Amino acid sequence: MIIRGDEPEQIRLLRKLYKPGNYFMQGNEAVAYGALFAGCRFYAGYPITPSSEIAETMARELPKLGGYYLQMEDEIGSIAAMIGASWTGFKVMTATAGPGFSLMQENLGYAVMTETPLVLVDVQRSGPSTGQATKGAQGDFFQARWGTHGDHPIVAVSPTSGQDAFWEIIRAFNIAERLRTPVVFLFDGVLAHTRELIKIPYVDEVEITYRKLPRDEEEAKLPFGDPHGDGVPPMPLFGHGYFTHVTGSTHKENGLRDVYTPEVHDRLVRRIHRKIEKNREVYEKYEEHFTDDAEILVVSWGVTARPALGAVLKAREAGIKAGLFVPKTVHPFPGERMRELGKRVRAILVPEMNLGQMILEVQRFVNDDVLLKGVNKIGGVPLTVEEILREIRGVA
Amino acid sequence: MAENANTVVEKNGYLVVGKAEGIVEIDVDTFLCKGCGICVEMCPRKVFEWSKELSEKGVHYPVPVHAEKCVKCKLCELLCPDFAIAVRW
Amino acid sequence: MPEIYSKYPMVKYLRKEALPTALCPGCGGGTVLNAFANAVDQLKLDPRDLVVVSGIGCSAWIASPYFLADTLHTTHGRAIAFATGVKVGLPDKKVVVISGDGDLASIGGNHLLHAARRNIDITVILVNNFIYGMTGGQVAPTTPFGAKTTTTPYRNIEHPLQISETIAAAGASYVARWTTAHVYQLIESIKKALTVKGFSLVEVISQCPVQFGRRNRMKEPAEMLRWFLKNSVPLAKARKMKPEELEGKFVIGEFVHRQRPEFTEELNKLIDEVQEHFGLKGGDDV
Repeated sequence: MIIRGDEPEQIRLLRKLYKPGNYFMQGNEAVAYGALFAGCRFYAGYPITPSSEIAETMARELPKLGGYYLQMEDEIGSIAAMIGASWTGFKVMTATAGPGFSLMQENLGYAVMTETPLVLVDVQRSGPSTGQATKGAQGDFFQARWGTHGDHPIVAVSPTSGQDAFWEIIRAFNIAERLRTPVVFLFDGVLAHTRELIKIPYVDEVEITYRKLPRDEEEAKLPFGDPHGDGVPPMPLFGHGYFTHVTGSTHKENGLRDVYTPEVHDRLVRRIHRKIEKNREVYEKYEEHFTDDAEILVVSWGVTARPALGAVLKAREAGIKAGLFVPKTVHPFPGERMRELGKRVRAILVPEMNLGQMILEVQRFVNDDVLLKGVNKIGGVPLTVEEILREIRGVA
Repeated sequence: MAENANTVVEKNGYLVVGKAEGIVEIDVDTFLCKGCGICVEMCPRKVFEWSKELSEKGVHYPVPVHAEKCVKCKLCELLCPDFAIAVRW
Repeated sequence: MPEIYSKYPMVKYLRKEALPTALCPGCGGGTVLNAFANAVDQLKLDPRDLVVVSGIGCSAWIASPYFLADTLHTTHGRAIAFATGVKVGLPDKKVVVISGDGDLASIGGNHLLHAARRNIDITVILVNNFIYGMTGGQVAPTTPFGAKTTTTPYRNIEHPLQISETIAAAGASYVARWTTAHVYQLIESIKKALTVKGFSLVEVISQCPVQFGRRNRMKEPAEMLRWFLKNSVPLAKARKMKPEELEGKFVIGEFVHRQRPEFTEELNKLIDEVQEHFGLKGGDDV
């Protein structure tokens, strides 16, 4: 009775429940509805501000679609239950904030190592620690990348508005399923609670993917191999008589643990990295405005991309050749494009609601002769068009 | 139980077979056996004795020399952590 | 793949390519595996209808990778939470958790408690060797008062947690405690636990001769088994004894066996109700 989300019965229910059109809702709700359109039918979570509305919306809507909402005893249990359910065939999601994300790191690493598709929404809030629980921030950029231990790749996406969140969560699910990997969805407390006009599309406008399943018994025997050369093994789900063995320990292609042979570990971890590195076209996405002739480039992400665009537009009006680069998939960072753009400009500004995190990624790809400056604001209030414009004028 | 029953013990490769004709056959797989001694100690009829020589694993293993005394309680079979013992009749 | 010569019929339930097991000679965990295979066999369960979940520790290695079924080997303490997700996703399969006392009752205590409270239909075989065996023999929340371990080199100053009693109070449908020496009762209990609808816990007092026994003057596995037999008190008798008399004893038997609403059943019932309420059933109105 596994629900993939694209069965005729599911399409019928989606059409009946969610009529296309304009709605007034908060970012969190847009994320939840996007997930439902993406085929998510299992949510295990734990409440934490400012993400709780996602859980509440899922709790209300999932039963209508025959899906499951579980409120677990803590965040660790949440991601654990998600991984268990993913191996039975469900598309799974949880939503949390900074402190909960910290708790989930161990099992996130487990999902990377066992190549379990899942989507983890982190609604960032002021940290560190309890911080400003109800205020948005962008301080988890590197927690998403390196929060869990060991050599591991990760894919993380970050929308720039509530409407964008609806489509980006669908994209996150598709990446997770296509590459058999966990995907982190970096949201924030500002977008989460901002109510705006959100357009819900026709069900047919949404394209969703499901994970690669074994075509025969032979393929099912290698749940951690590379039979098709793209680095993505087929996933022999539980309950089909495959006798699949899944472990977080270093394992061979057939799933059985082997911690004694160095080559086994090398091969496994490198293949997991290669799976992400070599499949860029699956996840790489960025937006650009006025970059053709820009002399000053603003690089931004998430909620800050909006005032950044406003500032760039105003700068252009004032005759300044400013441009905007917004990575939508923030990990892996679109380094190649960054390098190209970095060669053409003389100054780069990186506005973020933190003390400078994405700027370190930008720095990796641009030369020292480019002026690189962060526009950093913490305290829970988003950067304004004026604040960013002032910085642009400052380097113009 | 017959008093004149005799137990014949043979070792074919890894498998030790102790057969008491008409009573029971007790097999010990010395590839799996780790020489823990639970069967030797816990058998209520003292069917097993330790082997004189070491197995390929380098441990002394149980030999069912007194299989004729076996009452088929199967404690050895069930307690064995390594599935090495079979009590068959 | 090694040739397995053993004529023991239960071998068919094992992953032969992983044998012999990595468990120490005389480890009670092997006996638990033996009892579990017997229980599955006697119930005529098809291993394709089983999913076995375990955590980290020697006891977590009992079924994973040695038992031939879909096996999920998870992070330390979280096996029950993973199992909850698996059970909700595959309600018709039997989901079994086989893991240790440190894993399930120490770091994982919270998940154990809430799974019992939820009464989710999973079977937990908690192998209690009252020590952290795999990491070298450190004290555990189940270690007897006064015992020597590597982190209580003088003596243990804490008192052990009574897991079965605690989980019985939390809402489980079936709770029993046995020792590896009581292997026949153990098999019957596992059979019952697998059959009962709701959360079932079988706590098995198990010998760890290498880490616990050796440091507490019982280095032979059989010595520990005799110690279990000598110090086991049946529940009916224990109820009439005073706490001081029960100090250092193992109370064995079935603590609770009752009917309570089961989680996955309730969850699916809710979905039914909601779909009914909103007129979502049927397919005639696309």
